[in-house]
Parts: sequence; C-alpha cells; structure tokens
Amino acid sequence: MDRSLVVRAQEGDEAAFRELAVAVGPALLRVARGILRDRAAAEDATQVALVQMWRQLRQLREPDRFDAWAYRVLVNACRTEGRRSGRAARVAIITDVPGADGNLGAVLDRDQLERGFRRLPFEQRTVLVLHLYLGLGNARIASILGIPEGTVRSRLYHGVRAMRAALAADARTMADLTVAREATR
Amino acid sequence: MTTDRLATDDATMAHLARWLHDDLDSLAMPPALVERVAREVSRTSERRIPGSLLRRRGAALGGSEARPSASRLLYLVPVVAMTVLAIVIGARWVTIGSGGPATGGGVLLVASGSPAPTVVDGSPPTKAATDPSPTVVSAPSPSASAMPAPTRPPRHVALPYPDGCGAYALSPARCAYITRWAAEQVGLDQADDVTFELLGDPGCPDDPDCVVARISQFIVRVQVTNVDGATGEASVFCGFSGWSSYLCTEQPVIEPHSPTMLGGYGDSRVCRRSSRRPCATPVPTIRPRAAAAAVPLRIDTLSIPIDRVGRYEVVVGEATLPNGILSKATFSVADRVPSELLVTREGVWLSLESLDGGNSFDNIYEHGWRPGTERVQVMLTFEVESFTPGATLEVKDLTVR
Repeated sequence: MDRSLVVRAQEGDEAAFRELAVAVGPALLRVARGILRDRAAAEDATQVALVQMWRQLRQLREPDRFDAWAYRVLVNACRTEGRRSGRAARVAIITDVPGADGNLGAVLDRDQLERGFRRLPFEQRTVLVLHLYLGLGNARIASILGIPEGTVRSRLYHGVRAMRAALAADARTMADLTVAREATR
Repeated sequence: MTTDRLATDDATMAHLARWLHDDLDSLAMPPALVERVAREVSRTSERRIPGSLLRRRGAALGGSEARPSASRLLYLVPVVAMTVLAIVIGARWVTIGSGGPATGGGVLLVASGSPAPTVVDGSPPTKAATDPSPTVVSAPSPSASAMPAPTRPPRHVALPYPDGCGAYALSPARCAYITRWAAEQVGLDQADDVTFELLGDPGCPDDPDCVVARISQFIVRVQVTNVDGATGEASVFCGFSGWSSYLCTEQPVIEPHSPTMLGGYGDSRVCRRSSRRPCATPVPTIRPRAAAAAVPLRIDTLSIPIDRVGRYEVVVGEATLPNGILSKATFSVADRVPSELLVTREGVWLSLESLDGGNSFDNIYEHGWRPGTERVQVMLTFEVESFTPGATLEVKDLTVR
C-alpha cells in the first residue's frame, strides 16, 4: 500500500482515505466473504471495517503495516457480524442438481466444500482464508490476529482435518444416495 | 476426485485453496458499498473538526433549534411512541433477565461506537451535542454512590475510569471488564498504557434530521486513549438475552445450549398450503431393532474443575443413537449465576460428534437417517473468562439419546 496515501489519510485527508478504501476494499470484501460465507454479511462487515479504519487510522503507528492492520480490523468486524447473523446463516442444501450438462461433479463438489467450510468455527475459517486465499505465512497471520504462531498452526491443522472429515462424510452420504436412487429406478 | 483430494492434508488444502480462489477472485466491490462508506466517512469527518469551530457551528444552529418547526414536531410523534414502547419492553427484559436493577438487558446490538445503520437520531441536537470534545469532570466515588440508578451523564461529559464507574451503576469488576472489552474492540488491547474515560449515550452523529429509534438499552460508552494520544470508542448497548453477558448485567446467567435445546436441530422448512414450495418430508421413524441397540448417555451430576481461563472442551462420554436420530440432548447447569466463575455469553454448549463419520448434528435433515446405529462423542464446550481458585462448573441431568 502506498505509504504516503496512508499518512495523508491519517492526517484526516478524506480523499486519500477514499482512494485507500477503493484500493483495499475489494480484497477486504473477498476475505470477509471467504470467512463469513455470505455476501450480504461480508458487505456489512467490510463497510464497518472501513469506517472503523477511518476512525482509528490515527492509532496506526507504522503506516507500513497498514495492510496487516486493515485485515485485523476486518477480522474483528467479521467476528461481530458473524455473531449478529449467527445461526441465521444456514447451509443451503442443493436438492436438485444439474445432470444434463455433465457438470454434476463440480456442483456437488462446491456444495460439499461450502457445507464443510461453514461448519468450521470462525477462528479456523479465518486462518484458512488468510493462509489459503491470501497466501500469508503463519507468522504474518499470527501478527494480524494477535495470537501465537502455534495457535495459527493448530487452527490450520484442525481446520483442514475437520474439512477432510466433513468431505469424507458427505462423499459417503452422496454414495448412499446414488445407490438408493439407482435402486428405486 | 473425492479420494484424491482427501488423500493428504496438503491435497485437501490445495483443493480448498482452488475453491476459495474460484469463489472469491471475481468478487467486485459494489459501487453502493463504496458510496455508503464514503457517506459514513464524511459524516465522521465532521467530528474531526476542531472543537472551537464546532462550537461556533452549534451556536449558529441554536436559534432554529429553540423553535422546532411543525414538521419537526410531527416527526417526533412516532419517536415518542417508540420510546415509550422501548421503555416498557426494556423493563420487561430486565425483569426476565436479571431480576435486578436496570443494569442489564440483552444481546449486544451495537458495539465499537460504529454508527449503526439502524440508528436514527431523534433528539434535537443541542449545543452540547455538536461539540465532540469530551470534558473531563470529577466523578462521584464508587464507594459513595453504592450502585445508584444510572445518572445518565450528558453525552460529552467524560468521567475518568475508574472513578466514573459508579455514575453508570457499574461495579468495579464489571467496569474493568467493560474497559478491557472496549480496548479490545478498538484494537488497543495490546497497548502497554491506555487510559479510559466513560461517556454518555452517543445518540447519533450531528445530523439535525436524525432520530434515535432504539430498543436496546445503553450501558456506557468508553473512550480509550493510548500514550500516543490515539483514541478509539466503543459503546455497550444491550437488548435480548443480555442477561448472559457481563457487559449487560452484574450477574450474568450461564445459558445451557444443545442441538435440541433451541439449537435448531429440529428446524424444518416452513410451508403453507398456498405455497408451491414443498414441505419438509417427515423424518424416518426409528426402527425397533435400532432402538433396541441404542445406548443412551445419562449423567446425574458432573463437576468440572476450572483451573485456567480460556476455552474448555470436555468429553463427557459416548452414546449410540438409533438410526443416527437424536431425540434428546439436554442438561442443566446447577448454579447458573455462580459468583466464582465467569463464562462468556455464549454459555455452555452440549455438542455431539459422530464417531462413525456422520454429518454434524446441526439439523436433523442435514444429518440424515442411517440404517443401524451411530456412535457419538458427547462434549461440553464453554469459555471461561475469569474464575476464583477452586471454582467448578456443576452440570446435572445430562441426557443424550
């Protein structure tokens, strides 16, 4: 991120902050969507995070660390948003899948991933998105989230294991359904 | 494909990464969102104008504020009605929640001092309301106040912490908790040296057409300042079920939760005759042979020693469910308002994990029916925020079947 832009925004330059928001906003929105798995909630969290950044930008001592700080504010906003939308965000079940276009596997695959990912706790989803989507290392994630590196490793490990278990369980269910469907024909 | 991607953790991670990129890369920032942020920033910017300028602006507004227009008065009618309704409902919540003084309420509706989109300003902006610079005044000492009813200090009067806690009817411990929470909210929790000031209801930004229509109860606003002079604000508002949060009440109640105790396990699609949407199919019945093979878990009393702050995951046993169907998962907490233990407002969750690779127990339809039985591990999860040595969490009448 352009350091001078951050410094200008810190000094209260609204135009500079808007430029900053336009530059960093899409990435924040994608990360929020990745964590919350809900478009509307992600937009709300991004909006809250950006406004909060504007308010708290002067607290940022090192403008060079703007990116990390921005993700930290975003994760906090996502946590709040996640609690608010909480249990309302339920897994959408695909009851009918396209078969004619031969894309059945891809649709089922996405659906399984979506369901498995949503079942993960917020902390694990956050670490997985920061690591797998943004490609951040454990140390960087630890500094963004304000947690020890060991905790990042543990959340990654348990997140991936939980995903494997969920996908395996789903795969078995789908296999059972296919057998049952074949049997009824 | 399924086998390949599950072969190793690395393969699963690569698969997940591809999925995340496919899903997120094309996501663009909607112009409306950019606009909303720009509007909020502009509104917030006004607070950054030096106090002297704002005071002049406030004085200029004073004349018109003294004589509200007829349309303005009409605007206030629904506001007054809603306020009365809010007071009535609020009082009821407090009675249900804590049974104590009006220091509690419910779920945190607004936090971090963010101007919530649902908040509309109703009170005519006064001269003081346009001046954002807090004025530090001396506060009554907590000992002298002995938990009086909230005195509702004016919006911009900043009472220093901890002396100001009494003015908001906050005990020293709860006040300390709220200030720690506020520091965390504004991202200054790791700063070495921060000071706190307690302020009144933020109302809404300096918008003369703004009306507050809020049913949550305001507790306190905390301004956090670090050694560099950087500040941040967080406000506590409480609504539904706030009796389980120490932010909202002096005596938070530990809420027990499980899939079948308001956990949504039995939720099914709502359908009407007039609707074309199909109704949820009935859950298949439990087969007699599976019922006979099932092994329920029953625990009369369980004492969990608390020796650290943080998250607890306590495996309490195993059960075998007939056809994978969970009929009952209940328990109670012996002392729901313990004095030696503070649990987060999420309370205590009884959760089940399949030992036979079944789906999670979030919903009966998602979990599904299976032939035979399904073994499950039963866990109690909760997060301890503080405790006194020797504290225990006593659970009783736990049943999973």
